[in-house]
Amino acid sequence: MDVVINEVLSILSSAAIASVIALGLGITFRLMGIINLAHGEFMMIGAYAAVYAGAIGLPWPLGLLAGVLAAAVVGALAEVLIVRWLYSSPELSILGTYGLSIVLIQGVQVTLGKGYLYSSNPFPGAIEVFGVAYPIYRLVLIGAAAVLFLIILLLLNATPLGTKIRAVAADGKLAETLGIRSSRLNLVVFTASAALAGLAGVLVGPLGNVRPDMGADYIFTAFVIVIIAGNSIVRLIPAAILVSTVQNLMTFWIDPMVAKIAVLVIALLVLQGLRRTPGEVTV
Amino acid sequence: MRRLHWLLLLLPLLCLFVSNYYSGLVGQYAILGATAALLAFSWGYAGVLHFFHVVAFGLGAYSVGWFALNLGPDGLWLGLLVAVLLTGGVAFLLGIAGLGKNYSFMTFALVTFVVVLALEQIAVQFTAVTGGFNGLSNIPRLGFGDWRLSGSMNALVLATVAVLLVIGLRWLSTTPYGVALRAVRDAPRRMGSFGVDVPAMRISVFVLTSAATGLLGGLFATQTQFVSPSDIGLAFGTSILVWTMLGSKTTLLGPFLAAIGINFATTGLSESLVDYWLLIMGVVFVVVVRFLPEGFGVWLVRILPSRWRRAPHVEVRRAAPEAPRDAAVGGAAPEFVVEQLSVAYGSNRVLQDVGLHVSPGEVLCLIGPNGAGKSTVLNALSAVIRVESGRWRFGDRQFQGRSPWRIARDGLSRKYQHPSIATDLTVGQNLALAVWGPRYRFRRLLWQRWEIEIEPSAWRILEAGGLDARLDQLAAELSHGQRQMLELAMALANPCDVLLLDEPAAGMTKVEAATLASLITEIARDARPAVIVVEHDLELIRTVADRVVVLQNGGVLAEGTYAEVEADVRVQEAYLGTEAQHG
Repeated sequence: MDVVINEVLSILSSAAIASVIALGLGITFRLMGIINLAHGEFMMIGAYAAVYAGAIGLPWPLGLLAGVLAAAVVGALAEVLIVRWLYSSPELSILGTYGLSIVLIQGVQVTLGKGYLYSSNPFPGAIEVFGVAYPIYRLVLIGAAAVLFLIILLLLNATPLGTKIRAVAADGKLAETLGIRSSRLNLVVFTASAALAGLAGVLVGPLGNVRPDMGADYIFTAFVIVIIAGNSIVRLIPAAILVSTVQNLMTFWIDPMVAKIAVLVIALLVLQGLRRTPGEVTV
Repeated sequence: MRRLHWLLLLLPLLCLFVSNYYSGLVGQYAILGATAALLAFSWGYAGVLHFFHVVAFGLGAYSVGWFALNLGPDGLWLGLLVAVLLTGGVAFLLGIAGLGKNYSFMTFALVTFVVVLALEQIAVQFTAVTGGFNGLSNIPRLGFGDWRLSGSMNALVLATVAVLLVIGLRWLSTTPYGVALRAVRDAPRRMGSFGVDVPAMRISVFVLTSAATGLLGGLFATQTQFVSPSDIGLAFGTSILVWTMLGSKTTLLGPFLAAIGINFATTGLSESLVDYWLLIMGVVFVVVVRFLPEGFGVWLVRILPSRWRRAPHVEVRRAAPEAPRDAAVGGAAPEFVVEQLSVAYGSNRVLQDVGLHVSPGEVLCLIGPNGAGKSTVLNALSAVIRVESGRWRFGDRQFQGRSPWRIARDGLSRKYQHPSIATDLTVGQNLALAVWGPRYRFRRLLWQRWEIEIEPSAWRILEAGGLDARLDQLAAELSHGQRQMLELAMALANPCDVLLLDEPAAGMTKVEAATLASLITEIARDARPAVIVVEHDLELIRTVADRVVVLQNGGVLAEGTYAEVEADVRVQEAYLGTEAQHG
């Protein structure tokens, strides 16, 4: 019984991390039609900023803020300098962010070194849940993910800003004729997505190590979740739980490599079995 | 002058005259060049962007390495075979999953990207087979038993294979298959409506280029005699993408020469700069994507004499008129019947239980205020959108639930509102693709000569539009009215039982529209398809319509001759304030 509870909590906390990363990816995909291959590197920027903030003695909440801000600034710069010019062509936007990811990894590697950094855990210790001692930090992650999703969904669906953003997502040119400045909103969305990545980067910091190519550890799962969820933000949650369940159980019982292949196969099956809603263009 | 590319065969001969070191580089770089050309073929020509090229290359290298080291040196031949089959097989599975009818450009690129991420890690972790970080070394060169090629002879063989592959790709790009690929890239929906099996085209090119890349990867391993995870990783994949983009992905020689040139220019740099090298690659890549996405190759093509790149001439003949098709069927003449057609966009119901019937040779005009669902009817009937329910058939041939290209093959032809012909093909090539679409699978297109026979009615339209004298002209050079005529001719190029026309007169002058009206009447009389026309031009409707159906709010409001419908009070009410203003 304890094993089951432990496993369920592990799956939930993995799903929480993965879904927050996927949330950042998902909003640029859903709202801007852009797949940001540099998302994992925005995470890395956030994690580095938090580590360095901790190193100069700032308290954890300020480190969190520093991570979010650093990623947001890098994201905004990337949007203005590169991504903005590539919206008209999906292939160039993919390739542009892909090149950006290499520049960020290598840039950090060259300037800050390849070495592993470690960030301290703000909530050390364990707490008893249904008779099982479980790390507090991982429970906090689950709560944080739930709150984040709630905030983003409310922002998009219940505020004027959200309505404008969705109008730009549906048809940027049309929205401009209504007086909405879509280039500004795209900047806002891309920056917000980068900030979310930075936040996720700070959050995963204490779970592993911080290094230039750390994004690759997490981004695989996040991409698979986005593939499964399609362009829906709400569907990210069940997709994250599904992928985390398969990945955790198979890693534990079989082999991490088999787990990777398994989630890949699931993504392909979902892709194949996708039934579009009636009325949608099929070709 | 078009045979100039055979000069490329001089490249392998270099290996005979330069030192061992440089001949080895010639062999390696030629292989990398051909890899870039293969990527250009699937991405630039067929429009399938993916990151699988580096996985295919790495899988090929690893299979040759593993088989040669575990089964003895001659195992490398088996390894090469496995390289081709394995990469082709994996590509086929990926293609089935991602390039089928739910194909999304972005999603497929992402899926293949994820595959690269996974495989790179697997190559590191699956130490028993891949040797982990250390990779596999001491892979033998090509040869049998104890007899092995020297380094420079091995390079000569590799460079020859690479050059022949590029020449083969060039040939492929000029066959009807290659031309159809370009049309599928530019107008997939249109090609589907012409009966082209679009998913099969995409999957075939993806599998073909991947398998060939696997072969190249395997050969590459016999030259370097070493495979490591970096041969399957993203960094290497980036380099290939950079060469392909810089050389122009819409050419084949461009990426090939770019890869060789850039590699020679930077020989040794990657080893001495290590981390900075990747950083520079990344920056170059971003700059290319941002400022030079077309690459240098297209510049070169532009300054070449235009006769060097003239498209092949298409021999267009007029088919002998057929006996009316319905006469062949005994008993009652078959009709085109639509029953209870319903379509919803999300929760918004656009069509509700629409029923229509059209006899061969009859022209039915669908009219109605904007938003009544006229175009939706045509989109639903040609399966461009998914229907909620409904059945439609010609005689006993059922159409519902089939894909667009199958419907087209079964004799339902469609003309879109906006001409969506492939503009970088000639008039003749466009017609040829329309003729072959419903008839040939892609394999047949490989050997097909540029000769077609089109229906007399299509020929008549070409003449009316003055296109019969412009068969070798690029479609991009035609006027809007001429493009409309070409599109109509393409819809009629094969015999068809049902013809759907979506605003055929849109954007035409009054004279052109009048010519079109008499053509539609003549075609219906002579070739006897069942014709459904959606049109706003009331003058054209009055001329061509045998019967008019008025749609409103997704249902049939009224039906009858033009005069009857015009006199109907309900129709006047529906139209007043909308169409009445337009006249």
